[in-house]
This record gives sequence, C-alpha cells and structure tokens, in this order.
Amino acid sequence: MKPYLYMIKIKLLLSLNYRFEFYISLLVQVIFLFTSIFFWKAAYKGVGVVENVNEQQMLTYSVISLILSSIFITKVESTIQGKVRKGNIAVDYIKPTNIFLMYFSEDIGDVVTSIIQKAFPVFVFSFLFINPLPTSAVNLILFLLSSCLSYLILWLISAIIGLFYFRVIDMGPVGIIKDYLVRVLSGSFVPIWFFPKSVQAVLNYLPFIYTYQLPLSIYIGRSTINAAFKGMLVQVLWVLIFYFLFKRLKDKIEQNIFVQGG
Amino acid sequence: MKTFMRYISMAKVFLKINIQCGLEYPAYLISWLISNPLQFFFGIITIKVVVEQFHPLGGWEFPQIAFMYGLGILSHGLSVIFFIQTWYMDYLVTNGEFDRLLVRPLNVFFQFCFMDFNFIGITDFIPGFIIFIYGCIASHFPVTILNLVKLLLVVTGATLLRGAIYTLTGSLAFWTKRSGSLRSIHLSLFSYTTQYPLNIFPKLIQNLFTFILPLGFISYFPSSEFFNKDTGYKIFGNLSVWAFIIGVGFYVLSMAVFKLGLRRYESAGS
Repeated sequence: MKPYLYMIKIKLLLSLNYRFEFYISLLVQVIFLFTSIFFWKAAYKGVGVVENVNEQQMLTYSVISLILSSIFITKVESTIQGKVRKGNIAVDYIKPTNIFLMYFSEDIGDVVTSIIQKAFPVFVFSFLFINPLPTSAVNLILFLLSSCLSYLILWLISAIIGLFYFRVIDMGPVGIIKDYLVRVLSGSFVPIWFFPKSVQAVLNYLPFIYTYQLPLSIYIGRSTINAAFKGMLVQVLWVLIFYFLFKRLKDKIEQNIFVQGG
Repeated sequence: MKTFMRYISMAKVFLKINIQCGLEYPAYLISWLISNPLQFFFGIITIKVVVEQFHPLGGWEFPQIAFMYGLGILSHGLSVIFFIQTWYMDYLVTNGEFDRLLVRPLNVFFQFCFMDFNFIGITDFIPGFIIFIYGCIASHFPVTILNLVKLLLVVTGATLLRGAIYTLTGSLAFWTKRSGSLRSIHLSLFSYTTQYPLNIFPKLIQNLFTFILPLGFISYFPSSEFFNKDTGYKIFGNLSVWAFIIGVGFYVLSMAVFKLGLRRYESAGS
C-alpha cells in the first residue's frame, strides 16, 4: 500500500507547483459555472417543474455535474500511450509494484488535488447563485458512494482503451471520441430525462448514464432511495463487467509486450 | 509593387508546402473528420433537446440558434485553419524557433502567418457548414446577394477577430514565456458567446462582450439583425459591417502587439 500512497502524495505536491495553471483552471471553471447557470435559468424562465425537476434542482445538478467532471480525472489512457510510445513502460514493469495500481494511484492523486483546487472553490462560488447543498444527509452519503462507483467505471473504460495502445501505438482521436460520448450520453450537461423516450430506453442499457446522471439525480433528490440502490447495483455490475474485460485484456497483452527504443 | 508580388509568390509556396504536409497522412485527417464534427453535432443536439422541452432560449427559436451556432463555427473552422500557429507561440518563444524567421529576408509577421496552414481545421469547418445550411433552410433565411455579402463580411470579420485574440494571448509569451494555458480560457469563451444567445446572460456580461471584448459580433449580433431580434442595444449602422470593422481593427492591434513583443524576444539558451 505504501508505494501507492506515496505516488498519490507526489502527484499532489507536483500539481501545487504550478500556481499560474491553477488560477487559469479556476477561471475556466468559473466561466463554465456561469454559463451553465444562466443557460438553465433562461430555459426555466416562466416554467415550473419539468420532468419532476424544478429550477433550483436543475441548477444544483449542473453545478455538481461541473464539479464531478473537474474531479473525474482519468489520465491512465494518455499515460499508457506516452509510456508505450517512448518505451518507458519497460522501466515501470521493472518496479516491484503493480503498474496499473500505480497509474490508478497517480490518477487518485490528481483527483484529490482537483477536489482541493477546483471542486471546493467552485462549490463555494456557486453559493452566489443557488443553495447547492444536497436534499438530505442520506442523499449525500449515497451520492458519495455512487460517485466512487462512477469514477471506477470511467477509470476502467479509460484503462481498457489505454491497453490497446500496447498493440497499435496510436489510435488517433479514439480517446477524444470516447470523451464526447461520455459527456453527452452521461447527461453531464443535459440530463437524459429531457431526451426522447426511445433514446432513454437505449441509454438505460449502456454504462454512460451511470457515470454522471445517477449520482447527480441522487444528490438533487430526484431518485428515490429505492431507485438509488437499484442504480448503484447496476453500477456495481458495470464495474465488474469492465473489470473482467480489463483483466482479460491485460493478461493477454502482458504475455507479449513490445518495447520501443533502446 | 515588386516586393508585394514577391510576398504573394512566397505565400503560394508556403501554402503549397503546408497543404502537402497536411495531406501526407490521410488516415490522420480522416480520423479527425470523424471526431471533430461530433462535438458540434452533440452540442446542437443538446440545445435542440432543451429548446423542445422548454421554450425558445432567450426568445430564439431552435432554427435561429442553429443558424447562429453554425455561423460561429464557420469562423472557428477558418481561424483554426489559418491561425493554429498562435496556439503554440509559447513553445516557439521558449525553444527559440523565431530565430529561423528572423534571419530570413522576409517580414517576420508575414512568415509567422504562413508558417502553418492547418489543413485539419477543415474538419471543424464542415460540420459548421452543415449546421449553418440547416439553420438557413429551417429558419427560412432569405438568400439574396446583399445577405450573402453581409455573411461574407461577418465570417471574414469574425475569423480575423478570433485570430487577433489568439495572436494577442499568444504574444503574451514574449513577456511571460508561457501562454498555452490561456488557450482554454478563450476557447471556452468563444464557444459560449457564439453558441447561445447573449441575452440569456446578465447585462454586465453582455456589455463586456459587446464593448470591451466584442465576441458578440462573431455570430450573435449579426444573426440578431438577420432575424430582427431586439438585443437591447442600439448600435448605429449595419451590424455585419461592424463585425468586419471590429475584426480588422483587432487584427491590426494584434499585429502591433506582436511587433512590440518581438522586440522582447531573446532566443533560447543552448
């Protein structure tokens, strides 16, 4: 456990070095916050409740969604890509640690940094416009649990795509396409419940809505406790499926690793 | 006149080389052709969903928003084609890449403008064009010679305005050595001020994007004039012409700042 905790700490210290980057990213977050708040305010102008959600809830949804997307950092994909391309991956395999756990700890380090540097300031700033607190303590706890599962799903998807870099070196913008898909189909900007019923029916069978929409609707109290537990069960299922896929793929790829350069 | 002709012929050579570079990896181009349009189509779909579920956003119907959205992406695509080199100016400064431009017997700004012609930008332009055409048809935009001239003015002005702001923030690297991270700020500002009607924002922000950083002229004000929308601003004269004037004005300003910054340029160590 110790080396992994150390990795988390190193990542934290590293990111605290770049103060200018920090201010810039904070400013970008505030711009996002502004836009989504006024976008939804314009949409809800003169409208009471749409799909069981009122304006206050929707604004909270968008703020928390912004926070989640700023802390759900999955760099594992680009890490693997970079290391395979340069051949550094060999050095990582020599180390007496599980390399994927190490990449996971690196990402967790970034997540912790983002909670301090981005999530917290944005949360405080959002009090200017709304009351972003969760409906109840139970909702908060369920939200936190569900968010952790969401992160695991996103991380595993990213890691699986990353594994392909061992074989193909470059895949062009596959990672970017994945990010767009997640952003739209997960309901991180516009919740899926506003989409046509047929689209919703399809998306229920895909992992995307279990990454953003589920924890967020728990947070704003749109999901009942029962529905929340049911959703989290599906999340666990997706984590297991992706973990299984990841494990199979990893074992297969590790049998034969080609290291670039010398 | 002779120098002018020489510059024209040089520009042709630069363009030719850059297009050849861009076409060297067709698979790369095609992969971007798949991924880049996605973000714009997703963006417009989410707006459509919201407008249908609620009501016209800030008084704008969906086809009109599509028109504005498409118009904004047209200039975005063009600015990505022509001004991509301003996105990595801090790299050029810290690595001493300007040395190469300075020793040649040509205007540095001219060389800088033509050093990178980003063919990939066309993958931004195409989806913009599709959305724009859809917006034109769906909103029954009257296609007359006058309107086409106005659109040409708007797109030219907006492209120059975007390029000018890229150049201005890029030129900061002459003083600060780092400017890359500012890119995320102006990219998000550009997309939010051109995709949604500005009147959904508070008056203070509208003033900011009208008078101080006139991003509203990229697509919001010109579109509002085409559709006779009340923006709450009484601006003298034609808004499309204003978009052009502002674009050219900002571009001249950015050129001056670039020249000023170049004096501070001190090459790289080793």
